[in-house]
Amino acid sequence: MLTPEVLGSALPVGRFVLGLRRLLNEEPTLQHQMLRGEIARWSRARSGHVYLTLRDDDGSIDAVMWSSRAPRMDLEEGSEVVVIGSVDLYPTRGHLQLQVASIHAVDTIGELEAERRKLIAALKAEGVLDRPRRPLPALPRHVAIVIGSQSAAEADVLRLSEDRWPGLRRTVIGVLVQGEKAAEELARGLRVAARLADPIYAASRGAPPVDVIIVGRGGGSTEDLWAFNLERVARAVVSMPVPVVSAVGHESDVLVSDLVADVRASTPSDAVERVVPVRSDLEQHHDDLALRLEASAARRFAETRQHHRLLRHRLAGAPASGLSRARGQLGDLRSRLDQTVDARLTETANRLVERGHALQRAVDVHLGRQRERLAGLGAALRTTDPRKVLERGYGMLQQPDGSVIGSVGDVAVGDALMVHLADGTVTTAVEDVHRT
Amino acid sequence: MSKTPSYSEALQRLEAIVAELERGGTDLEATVKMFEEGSELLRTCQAHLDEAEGQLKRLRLADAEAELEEPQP
Repeated sequence: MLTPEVLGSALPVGRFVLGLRRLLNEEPTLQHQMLRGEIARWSRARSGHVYLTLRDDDGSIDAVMWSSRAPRMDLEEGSEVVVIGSVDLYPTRGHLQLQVASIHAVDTIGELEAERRKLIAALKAEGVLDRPRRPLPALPRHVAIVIGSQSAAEADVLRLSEDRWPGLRRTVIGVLVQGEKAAEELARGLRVAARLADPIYAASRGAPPVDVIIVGRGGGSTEDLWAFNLERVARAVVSMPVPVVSAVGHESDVLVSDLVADVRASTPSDAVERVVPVRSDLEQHHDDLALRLEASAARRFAETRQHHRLLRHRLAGAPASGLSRARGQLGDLRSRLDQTVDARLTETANRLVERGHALQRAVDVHLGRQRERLAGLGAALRTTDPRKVLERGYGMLQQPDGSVIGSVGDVAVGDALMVHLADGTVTTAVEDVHRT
Repeated sequence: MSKTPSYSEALQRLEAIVAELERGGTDLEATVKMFEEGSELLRTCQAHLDEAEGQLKRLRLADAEAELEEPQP
């Protein structure tokens, strides 16, 4: 029999539960605690609240996520998760539960990461990662860009490429770059690019074939970029007939598309800088080369002209005496050569100015022959130079009128004679004439 | 040359010619030949630049695929 005293000392259960709740709420180790476990039950009520049970081998606890905190996607039972939550007691039913503020699936990213590693290992085993990379074309004639449709990255790529090469031929294929369909769309976009790179197909469309492909998107979270880690995209990149630049906006993570592409760019804009030269720079380089070509050729011509002058001077220095006929001939030849050389050089200079108009080859051959002939004559002259003979102790006889005496018939007794020696002239008279 | 050289080939050859002419020592006939070849290469390079000019096309994936299937003009 319970006495009133006993009854009076008994706590009403509600007060006990509320006290217990206060205790739990005030215990810091039970608040905002990070817990790891697996989802044993997952149920979303019509209100949007999610009721779940977390468990591991040693225990389990019921939990609730209010609709404002619940993830949009349901998680599968059995998934490994990390939650942040606080212990609370639902007084009406005395039910202890964890109020979850946030939930992170360990498994989803873990599984994906495992798949990614498996894919990389497979690609490596197949030799795909070590295959030789193709160089980018020095000059792209048609760039295909597979990128987020209507994205900021697309706008950046178009603006930057237009700045570098106004009017460059580009085909942009706008695709989804995140979400479930991203990998499929990227692969299909790449297939379109590959078709445009087929020379026969391109010719039938009257456009040069695509010779380089940029595939990418702007930056985002690891999950946002995940399509670029999937096999479908990797295989599509590898199968492209022309060099591919992987252009996903990120610095630290390396994506599978980066590993398999011919060139890895850190952003879509970086890809443009690698692919599209600055046209005005190339034109300036051409202008430099044109100037240097003209200047160096002109210098060569001037040198040749100088060489001709030298030959002429040597001719002019030929002996004045006793060779008037040969000299006359040479003079003729010289003036003809002068004319020819001058005419040719003038012509060449004109052609230089016009840049690219050629001298007629035949004319050059002719000129070359003239030059050789002239050089030959010069050499012959040098060997027959009478002064060389005089140095050996011979004398050359000349009438006072300058005609050379080559025969005893040219003189009579009493004639005055000039004897040229190597270092001067002696005037003498004929005393006797005797024919041998 | 039987086939038009690529841009890089043409540019490389042109640079080599200019370097050789600048080094000096070529005779008249060789100079003329090199000058002619260099001028031709310059024209080739410039023509390559012009070839890169063309249309900008912006297509959604589905439209790009549809265009591939279109009967050719």
